[in-house]
Formats: sequence, C-alpha cells, structure tokens
Amino acid sequence: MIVAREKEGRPEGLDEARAELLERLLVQVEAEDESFELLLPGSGLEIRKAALEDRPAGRPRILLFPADRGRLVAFFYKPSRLSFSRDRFSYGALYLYAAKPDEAAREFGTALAYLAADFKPAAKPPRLKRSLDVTVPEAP
Amino acid sequence: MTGATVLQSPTMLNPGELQIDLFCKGLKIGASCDLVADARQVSRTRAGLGSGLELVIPGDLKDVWLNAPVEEDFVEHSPFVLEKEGGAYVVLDERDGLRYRVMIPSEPAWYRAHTSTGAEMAKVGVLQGTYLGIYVSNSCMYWYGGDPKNCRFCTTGANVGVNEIATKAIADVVEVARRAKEESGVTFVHFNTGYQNGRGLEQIAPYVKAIKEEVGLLTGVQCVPVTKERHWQYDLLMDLGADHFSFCYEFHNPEYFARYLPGKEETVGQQAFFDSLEYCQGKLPKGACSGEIIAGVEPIEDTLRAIDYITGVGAFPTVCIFRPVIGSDMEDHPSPDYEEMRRVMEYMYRACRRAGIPMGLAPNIEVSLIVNPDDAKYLVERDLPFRLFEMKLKVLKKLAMAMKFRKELRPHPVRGSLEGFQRKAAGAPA
Repeated sequence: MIVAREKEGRPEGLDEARAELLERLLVQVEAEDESFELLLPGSGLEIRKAALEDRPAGRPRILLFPADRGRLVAFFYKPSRLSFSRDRFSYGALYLYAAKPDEAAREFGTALAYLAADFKPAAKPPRLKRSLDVTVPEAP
Repeated sequence: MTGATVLQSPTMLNPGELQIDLFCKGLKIGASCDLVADARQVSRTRAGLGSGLELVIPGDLKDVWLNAPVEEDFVEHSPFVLEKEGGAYVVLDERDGLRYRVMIPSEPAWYRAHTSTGAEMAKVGVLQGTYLGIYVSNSCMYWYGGDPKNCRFCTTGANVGVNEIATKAIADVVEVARRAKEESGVTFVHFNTGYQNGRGLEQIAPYVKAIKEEVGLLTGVQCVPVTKERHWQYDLLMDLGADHFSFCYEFHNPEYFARYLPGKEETVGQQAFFDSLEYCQGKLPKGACSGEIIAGVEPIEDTLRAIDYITGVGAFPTVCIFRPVIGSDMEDHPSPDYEEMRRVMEYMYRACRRAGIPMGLAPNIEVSLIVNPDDAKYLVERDLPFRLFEMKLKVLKKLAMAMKFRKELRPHPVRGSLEGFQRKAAGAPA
C-alpha cells in the first residue's frame, strides 16, 4: 500500500498510453501488503519502502521514467549514503511496454517483490536487465 | 587539500598498515565532516571498484593514497570514523581512541567544467589517486545477453548510462586530459575498455596517439588480452605511444578464475593473460607492465604464487584488496581479513625488491585503488637491504626522468600510424 507521498504529481513526458500504464502500476503498489512511499524527485517517480515505527525508510528504490519505444523503465538502485555524492548504485532495470500493459503489470509485480526484499538476489526479477540501453535521468 | 602530518605512537598503525586496514574495514563518515566542500566527488568509474572516498595518509617515507570504502554495508561495522577537528581531518579508531591525521584531496575545478561538445568533464574521466582514469567504452560485452558473463566483483556494466558517458569522444578526452595536466599535475592517463569482442586495443589506439601528440602524458592501456596471432597489436600500440600495459587476470587459481570471471574464461582463458603479459613485458623496460590481481577471495597461497609469477616475468604486481562492491554479484562476500592482507602486501614488496622491479620511478603516479608496491615499504624493517634498495631507486628515478619521462611529458609526434593499425586490424584473422 502507499502510506506516504512526498508530493502529488506525475513524471513529465508521459504520453497517454504510458500515463495509463503508470496509473495501473500505482494501483498495484496500493494493493501490496508492504508499505511504500512515493517520491517525485524530478527525474521520474520513485518508490521505496516507507519509514514505519520500527524501521527507517528503505535505501533501495525503483525509479520509473519514460524512455523511447513506448517504454516505462523501472530502474532499481540504491542512492549513495553520502550527501554530496550523486552516485546511484544500479541493480538493473525492467522495461515495461505501454503497448503490452498486461505483461508490463506482471513484470512490475516482480519489481515490487524485489524492492520489498531489499534487492536480495533470490528475489531478482527473471527479466532483469543488468546493462541498460537508456540513460537514466538525474534529478535536476 | 587539507590536513597535517601523522601523529606517531608505538601502538599506532603506520601509514601502510592503516591503508590496508581501511581497505578491509571501510570508513564511516562522521557528522563533523564537510565533504561537500572539502572532497572529490565519489565516483565508481573503475570497474565499480572505486566506490569510495579518496584519502591521503601522510608518512615519512611517502604519502599513501587510498580510495576508502564508504558505501558498502560492511562499512557500518568499521571501527574507523572520519571526523573534522579544528579544520583538519582525522580517522578515529573507535577501538582504542587513536587518531590518524589524513588529507582529503579537494575536487578539481575542472570536474564540473564542460568540454567544447558540452560533456561534463568528470563524466569523461576522473582522478584515481593522482592519475587520470578513462573508460573509453564501459559497455563491456560480458554484461549483455540473457545469461551475462560479467566478472562477478564488477559493476561496470551496471554503470552504463547511469553515472558515466558510455563512449568518449577523442576531442573530449584530449580536453579533459589537458585540463587535468595543467590544473592537477597529472602525468599519466590510463585507458580501459570492457570486453569489446577482441577489438579493445583497436578502440584505444586513437586515444593514445592523440594524448601523446596533443597533450604529452604517459599512457597506460588495459584491455582483455588478444590471442597470440594478434600480439602485433601491442607492437603497434607501443609505436603509437603506449608506455604501459596492464592485464587484469584477478585470480591465479584457475578454478577461481573460471568461477568468478566467466566471460574471460569463455572468451580468452587465463593463459591469454599470461601470454600477453609476457609478450609486452618482453618488449618494454622492466616494470613497465603489470599483472593485476585481487587478494582476499582465492586462497592466500595462490595470491602469493601470482606475485611470484608476475615479478618473475619482470612486471609489477598490482594487488587490489577485494571490495564487495554495492550492487555487484559478490556484494554479500565478506571483506578480507587485515592480517592476511598485510601478509600479502609485505610479500609483494619483498618480491619486487628481490626481482629488482622498479617502484615509484614515474613522476606523480599514485594509485588509490590498490596498495602500490612502494606503499608496502612501510610493512618491512628499515634495514640495510631496505636502505640500499631505496638508494638504487632514487638513482633510477633521476635517470628515468632525464632519459624518458621529460620527453614523454611534452606533446610529440609518435612513430606509429593509426591508419596502418586499422588496415592491419581489418585484415587480420579473427
């Protein structure tokens, strides 16, 4: 479920098909048992495990952003521990095609399970791409 | 750079020992630090092994550079904490309260500058210690396909498009190298590619030539080796100005090589590294080539055998202390034990001295990702053989500066032809 939102809004640059897909994916996030928080840093829409009474917010994140060929990219990463570092520690990505919403939703289910498991190798999505053919946007 | 000299006491680690312990245990960042203002940007541009904070530990023999792990999970258990006290940085050892003065290299102004084509300079190349490291193309082919064959300790492929420009333009590299030379005193640029289906040397060749002719720096080349019938490529690269070749075979034990380097095992095999190292070292001055290995994963006796082999062929050993880099397949592998790593590095120094491998001759080259052979001189007693070897190195350093480096550090034409290289490469058997 979504228990916190940094702010309202959606990533820029979404066409109608990808906006629809994103809405469907957020319904999936809402339906999860795990508690998630949504962030909107300007590079896309981020999802992380929310801070609860007995734990801080999770370090692992999914960044959702639009890419060419009608894709939404679900990029898995951990941010740096250092306030001055822009490094993002990549764990790969899944490509979600707006033209194949059912398949995209299935893939995204594996993405949420990976995030919930803090990127443990056993929960790695079967179709995870370790090396990407897109440039991951940075927050402005 | 900020900092002061090391405060010595009999119970303290010396600079070489502290370097090794920090590599093994990592460094927590204390709340008093102001690294935004004081430090270089942390960057993973180096097979993902350089994820840490650049530090310099001052010492009476030499200053020791290291890239201290700061991001990985094991760092949370480190007894070492970086703090800023009275305007200077110290590493506090929480086990005994001892403090070690360290220096934090500041970020060069050119990191945030842009090249004429608009590329951010720090995304073209970064300082690793005191030299400029450039990944000509970090899209290593081992990372692609349904069952990636990437080296298991590495995160290079995961960085493509994330933290760095994937392929560098020659003009951008020349601009960055020139600024790095002028403003940071860089003398050496190291070019690297991931696996490029046997075309890595061909890709690097134009960069080497451009740096020699337009900037004037020492150049190093690191690629997956070519097969014996293509060893001529090394000759042509030497003609284009390559001064140094390094061969990262990582593990001497063939079983570990195959297990952790599946791409290298399948495409060229361990023997290709030995063949190329011996070929290149045979054509260059002693110590001009290096065999690069990782300590702390395979049994220590295998690592010691690697050092014997590398020094035995006249090359110098580049020994990395294994880092379970965040995001790598080996992220959960334990970080190595300090005592074992100290033993390895002392052995490395003694092996180099025994084989007469020159150490520290080239001007201003400090590598922060490894324990340099001459960093390890802190690990041995300062007896007569030590002093004699130090004297010999001093003489060699003066001779090398006069006979080799002075010329290489000025822009000058090279004798090799890029077109000749490309023509021959196009016609050579695969």
